[in-house]
Amino acid sequence: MNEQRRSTSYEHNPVYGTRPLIFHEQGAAQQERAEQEQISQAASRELAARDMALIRALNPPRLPDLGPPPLREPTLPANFESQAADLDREIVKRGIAVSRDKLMALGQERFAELLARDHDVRSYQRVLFGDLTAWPAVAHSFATVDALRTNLPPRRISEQLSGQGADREAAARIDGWKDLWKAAQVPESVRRVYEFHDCFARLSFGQSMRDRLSPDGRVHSRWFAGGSGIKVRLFQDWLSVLEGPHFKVVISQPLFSVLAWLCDEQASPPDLAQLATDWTGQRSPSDAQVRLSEAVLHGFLLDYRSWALWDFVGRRTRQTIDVGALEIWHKSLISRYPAIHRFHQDLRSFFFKPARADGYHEFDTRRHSLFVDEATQNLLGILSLLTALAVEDTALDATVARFQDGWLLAQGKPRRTLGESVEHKLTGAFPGARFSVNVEMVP
Amino acid sequence: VITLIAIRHLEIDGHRIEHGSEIKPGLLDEKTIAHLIDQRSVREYDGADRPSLYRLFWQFSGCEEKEELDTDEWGEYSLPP
Repeated sequence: MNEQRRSTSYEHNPVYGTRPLIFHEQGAAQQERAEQEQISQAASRELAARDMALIRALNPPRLPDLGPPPLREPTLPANFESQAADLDREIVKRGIAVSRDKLMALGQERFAELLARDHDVRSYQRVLFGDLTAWPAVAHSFATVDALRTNLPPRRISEQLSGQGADREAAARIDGWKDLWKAAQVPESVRRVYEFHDCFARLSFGQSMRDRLSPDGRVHSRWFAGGSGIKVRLFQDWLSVLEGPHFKVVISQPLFSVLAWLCDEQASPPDLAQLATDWTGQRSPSDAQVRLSEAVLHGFLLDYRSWALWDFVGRRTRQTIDVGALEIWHKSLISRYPAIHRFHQDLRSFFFKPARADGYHEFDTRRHSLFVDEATQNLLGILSLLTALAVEDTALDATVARFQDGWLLAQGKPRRTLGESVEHKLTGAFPGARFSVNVEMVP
Repeated sequence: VITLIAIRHLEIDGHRIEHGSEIKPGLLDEKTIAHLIDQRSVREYDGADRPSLYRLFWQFSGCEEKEELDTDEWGEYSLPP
């Protein structure tokens, strides 16, 4: 038996590129280790770089938010802001002269009307009401008979998956008094509730005015003597209780005038009655049809489109208009006022926000709407102030209230040239703009 | 606070009150109210469920009792803060 131990050594196989198992030289092993380490470090670096590239690709750098573009600004006198603040202080100090007796008489008459409207609502018993003064209670009453919903088709799953129909879904929401007209199941109940609500709001306004009537027979309140929107319409309903002669300075279609100036639109302002005739086919359109054409025009001027326009016009007129008809009317306004449409198209491009990682951007409706609203209200505010300053120039201490809806109230009797003076002042600040100013006595 | 609503046509002291209408607070004494409720001619509502229009517009209705709208409803009716 062979007891001598035999050992066998193998060289590494270069075909497979494996590491040599046995190194004949001492330094070769160290060199091999160093090389292997370098290779693994390089592979690791490459992997890390690839991962970083992937992360960068998934999170593209955000586009710089440039913000809304600067808009054309009116030419105002250097001390305009201080003049405005002084005038507003003076208006509140002056106060609105109100006849206590007239106010009480009209209030009592309207209270009797409110009781009649309350009876009307409750006598038509398709919907049974408890509290008619609070929206949650009224909404509950409609919901009890499944009438707190619109006739708009609900958003289908295919639309949800493709991202369509969100504007229709938003327009179909009934969130308060302003949306009740959408409840199309019981239109007569809705009409009667609105009549009660309007009467209630009018009377609340009158009682509030009565509460703030000072012993000197005047209402000294910034809230009553300025602002915009529904309270201005309510104020107009109480003009007959003013004490002594008053006159109104009214700017015709102020929203169109300032936007046409802003967009450099050369076309003349529309005749609302003619618009109503064109759209409804009525040669002698009713007041409601003229109001409808005005609402569509304002929707166009403020850049409401599609279902947002449907919602806007519906809130103004409390009626459901076919969205297809609105589209046609909107297109006719686009062809009539191309500069305004172009301005809105350009403006819209500043209100897209990143919505997905792949760079998809979506239109930020809310931010755009806020910007347009703020910009137009700012211009209407300037218009109102300039009008008040022009009135003060011709008749000192006359202005007692100024509103951003294009009119102001002044005490006394106007000078014959007042309209021209106001127009001159306005065109000085808004060069190239066209304003139509009417001065009329309050009956 | 209670709001009284007529649930039948009533004529009291020359005042004609239609079915479903509110009875002016202070118009009837306690005994008459109790009698009308027993007769099922009048129904009592909690003021929170049906506020009295007479009390809300006390300046114009001539009612001696007062009631205020909730402050969160002021905005809905465009009332000053």
